[in-house]
Amino acid sequence: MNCESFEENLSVFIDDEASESVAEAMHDHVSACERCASLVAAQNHLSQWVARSSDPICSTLTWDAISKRLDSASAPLAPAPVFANKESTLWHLTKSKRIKVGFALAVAVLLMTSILPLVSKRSSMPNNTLVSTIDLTAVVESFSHGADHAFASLSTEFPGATYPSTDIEDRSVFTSESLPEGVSLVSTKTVQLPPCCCPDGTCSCKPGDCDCVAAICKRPDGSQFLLVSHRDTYGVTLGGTQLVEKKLGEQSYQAGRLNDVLTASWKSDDRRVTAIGLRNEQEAEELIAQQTMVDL
Amino acid sequence: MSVNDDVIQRAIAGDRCAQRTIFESLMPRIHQVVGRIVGNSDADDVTQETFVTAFDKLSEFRGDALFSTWLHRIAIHKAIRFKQNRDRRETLSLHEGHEPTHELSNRQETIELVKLAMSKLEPELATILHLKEIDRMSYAEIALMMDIPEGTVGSRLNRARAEMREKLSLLGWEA
Repeated sequence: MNCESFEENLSVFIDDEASESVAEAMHDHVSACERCASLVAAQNHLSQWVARSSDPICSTLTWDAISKRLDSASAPLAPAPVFANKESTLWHLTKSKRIKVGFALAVAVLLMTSILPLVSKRSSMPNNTLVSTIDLTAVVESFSHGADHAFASLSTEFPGATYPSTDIEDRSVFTSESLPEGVSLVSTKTVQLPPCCCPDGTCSCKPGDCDCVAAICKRPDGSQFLLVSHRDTYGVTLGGTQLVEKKLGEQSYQAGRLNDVLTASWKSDDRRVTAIGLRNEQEAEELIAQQTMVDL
Repeated sequence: MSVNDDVIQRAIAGDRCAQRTIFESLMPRIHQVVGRIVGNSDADDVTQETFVTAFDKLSEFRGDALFSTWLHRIAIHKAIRFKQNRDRRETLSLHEGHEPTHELSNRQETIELVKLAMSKLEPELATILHLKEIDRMSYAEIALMMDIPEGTVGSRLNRARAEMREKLSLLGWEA
């Protein structure tokens, strides 16, 4: 491989998307070519800065705005004013009938004025009361292809900023002390969950300032698993897969397998932690014990 | 957040509650993607247009791809078109008001430079760079979102990255 074809394939190489034979040829080339090695280093450096430059973007958009647009688009043409044509209006009714119709209209107006505030109050309830569970099915399914894929799937499902390893300790609610011995944090990101259902003042899950976090953890042998942490006001589901309630001393947790990927979820103080891709229940319980300070 | 088939079918039938569920499930994610292409100030408008168009064309959703992928395609298409039209109206060049600096020790300053360079990329290139570097999507996922062949993703990313390096170099970036 020469420098020109190396450059042509630079992206597939650094993104780990090259075929095995191309990747091997590129590895051979870059280990012998100083120019291309510096190109890879420069691109990796730039990639880190691009990732850091991502600010969560705040939204003020509401369903009401969309709903109004949809309603106005589907509304039938306005009928002609009732009094525009005397031939077809109330003026053709007898006086007593006009009184009855007037009375009916008055009752209708009265009812509308009584009911509308209630309807309006209901529709102005915060959206955040609607979502109370997070379905991690797609994330767990992606784990069959590795923790990186699951992490990417989480990024697809939920927006948020990704932080490189240098920023992990500052950003993550997970620390090396909260993980079993030998397990380290590899990568972390904030996760912006859909309309937050936490009671006012109990969290900072608003756009731009979210404390829901996901992290990839590496075992001493290099294998990985995924941790997701958020306020306990959300539950976790795996689609139709049953999560079984279990006990570890006083601590309860839920565990289940989807596509042979073991997932465990437990409460830790006011947060819920979900671990995806655990080896077995023993590892799950070691992790839970470490996080919740429960004796095994 | 996933939207199940039942909700989609009810939404197609015109059920406003189902449409609202879709909106609330997918809006944050769509808004982020749109915002990264058009910027914060226009993100709400373009996101709103995305959902209005999507609900208007729901009957065209055939289920060939995931619903969220279908919606993302609409959003990305709208955002790119919006940015192209807006950029056409703006005549600000990369150099105007931004003198190259050779002292990039400040982290925030560097981040601002990166943002500035990204904002000057063609919308398609900026979008693909965002999907890869920030959303960490695979080439297969990007291909689905942007409705391009998977083999094209690598070459476009190459172009986007090369242009980023070039623009940052003009701004005084030293890797």
